[in-house]
Amino acid sequence: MTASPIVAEGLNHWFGSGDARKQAIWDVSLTIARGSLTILMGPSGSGKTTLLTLMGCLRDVQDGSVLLLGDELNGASERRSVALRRRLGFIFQAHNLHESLTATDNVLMGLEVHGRGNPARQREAARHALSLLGLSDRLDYLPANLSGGQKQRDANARALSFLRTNRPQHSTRPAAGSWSKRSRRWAPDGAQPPSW
Amino acid sequence: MLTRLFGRLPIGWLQLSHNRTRLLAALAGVAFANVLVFVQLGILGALNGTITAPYALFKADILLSSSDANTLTDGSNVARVRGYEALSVPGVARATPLWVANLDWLREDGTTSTLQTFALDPAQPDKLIPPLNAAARALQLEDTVLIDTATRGLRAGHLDGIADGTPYRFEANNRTLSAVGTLSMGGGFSADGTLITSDQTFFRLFSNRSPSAPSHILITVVDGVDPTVVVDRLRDALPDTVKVDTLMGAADADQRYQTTERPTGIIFGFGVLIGVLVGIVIVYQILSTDVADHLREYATFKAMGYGQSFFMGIVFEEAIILALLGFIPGIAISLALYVGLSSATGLPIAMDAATALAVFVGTLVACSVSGAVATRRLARADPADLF
Repeated sequence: MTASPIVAEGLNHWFGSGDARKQAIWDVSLTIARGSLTILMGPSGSGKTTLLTLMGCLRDVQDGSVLLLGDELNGASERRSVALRRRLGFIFQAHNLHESLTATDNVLMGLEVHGRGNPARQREAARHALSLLGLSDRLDYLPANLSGGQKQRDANARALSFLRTNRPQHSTRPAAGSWSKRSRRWAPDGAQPPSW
Repeated sequence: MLTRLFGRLPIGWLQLSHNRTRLLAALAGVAFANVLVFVQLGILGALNGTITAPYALFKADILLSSSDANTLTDGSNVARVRGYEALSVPGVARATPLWVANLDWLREDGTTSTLQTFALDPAQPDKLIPPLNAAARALQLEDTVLIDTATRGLRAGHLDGIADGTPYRFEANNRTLSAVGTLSMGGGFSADGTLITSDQTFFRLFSNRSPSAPSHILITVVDGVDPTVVVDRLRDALPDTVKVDTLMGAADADQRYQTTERPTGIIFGFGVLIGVLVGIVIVYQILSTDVADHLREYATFKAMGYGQSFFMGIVFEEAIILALLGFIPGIAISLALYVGLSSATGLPIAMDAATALAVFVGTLVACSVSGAVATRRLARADPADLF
């Protein structure tokens, strides 16, 4: 398939209601190509996060269209949105780690959303992902005891760890990452973690 | 272990145990809600218990009362002749008149107890009151009674050692009475204890009461006959001024009357209602505050692709944990309060398994529903709005 994974067309978005209604983005159209690294730049308040949350299924599309992995998000059902969110790895601006879960458990939450696999293997995978990001000595730390950068890496592991356990689907196979289809694990020795 | 039970991380438990202070506060709240309901139920239960206890004293099947009598002690008398008329109804084996009155017992130390006095012919072939059996002969003597050792206002052991040969003598209504035996009933809301005596002694104590006008008539049916059938026959045979019901039915009607039409009962019933409402509000506050505190984290989970059923699972997990852990101190404190209240009032305030179970299930349901209601906001909102 050659279709682009994310296609936005004529997006408008407003916040607030009545007199306080304020438009945040105006008629945005963009296409993100498969395997590309796209960086969104703009001054504060220009609508970068709004656009990201719209494309990431975190906000209802009000006007215009977003095609995410071939699915229209405008008017998508809750069920559809939940299914699509599971196919994304979203790294939140403020980490949004769960304060009562350890670094490993936070990553596990990213794995468990895909179903109840083998808990021991999931845990092993979560630990492995954290080790690859240099957090092997912080596996059982609560977020409150991690530095800002460590939290960021924990959040990254949570957002992307599903790449290993997610079954390959027709158009969802990510282009980035040293992902081995046969073993469904991070590629062994020497392989670098994906560059995020 | 919890992980295995849920097939996922025990988020609810981890969240609750993460902040011990908040957990303790929540548990204290749930426990307080439980105590509130338990105390109100205990008092109402004590009222119900003291209403029906005297009925359990009698081994009879049917009670004849005046049509305006709602309890054992109020209303008019019933004509003794109704008992003879009842004997002509098929299925009736015996009809025994019963007299009831309250007797004030003023003691030398200035304390007073009101004794609810039941009187009937001790020579009746069937012993309608089991405690009377052993003392039936002694009661045939003038001014002899059976006294309640659990009478309120007596110091412990005051009535120890009473027997046929060593009676306890006391004075009431200007007569010297000899207690030749004991029973243990305890006080209610209208009397402090119970006294049982012969009809003849009763007439001497209450000179205004007449042998021809007992308070009630106890009917025993022939063995193997359904009392309800006899009740219907008696209703047909007797005039409308006589109320006929099975003894159990009369006890239920009395309880219904006293809890729904007497101020005491209404107040206690109202207390239960308010207790339950306040309990629900407390529990709702605890659960909704907890959900609000974790809304940001739930929104993150939602953004990762978790559905509403996952959040319901977490909230129910928390509801179960809070209901269970809060119930344990709740019932323990309630039991202690029951003991204190019982000894202070002499009322039978007791916990029974059905009440305990009902309160626990009620707490569980209130916790779960509160949690479910509190997660509605999460279901409606876009995850990005909640970060």
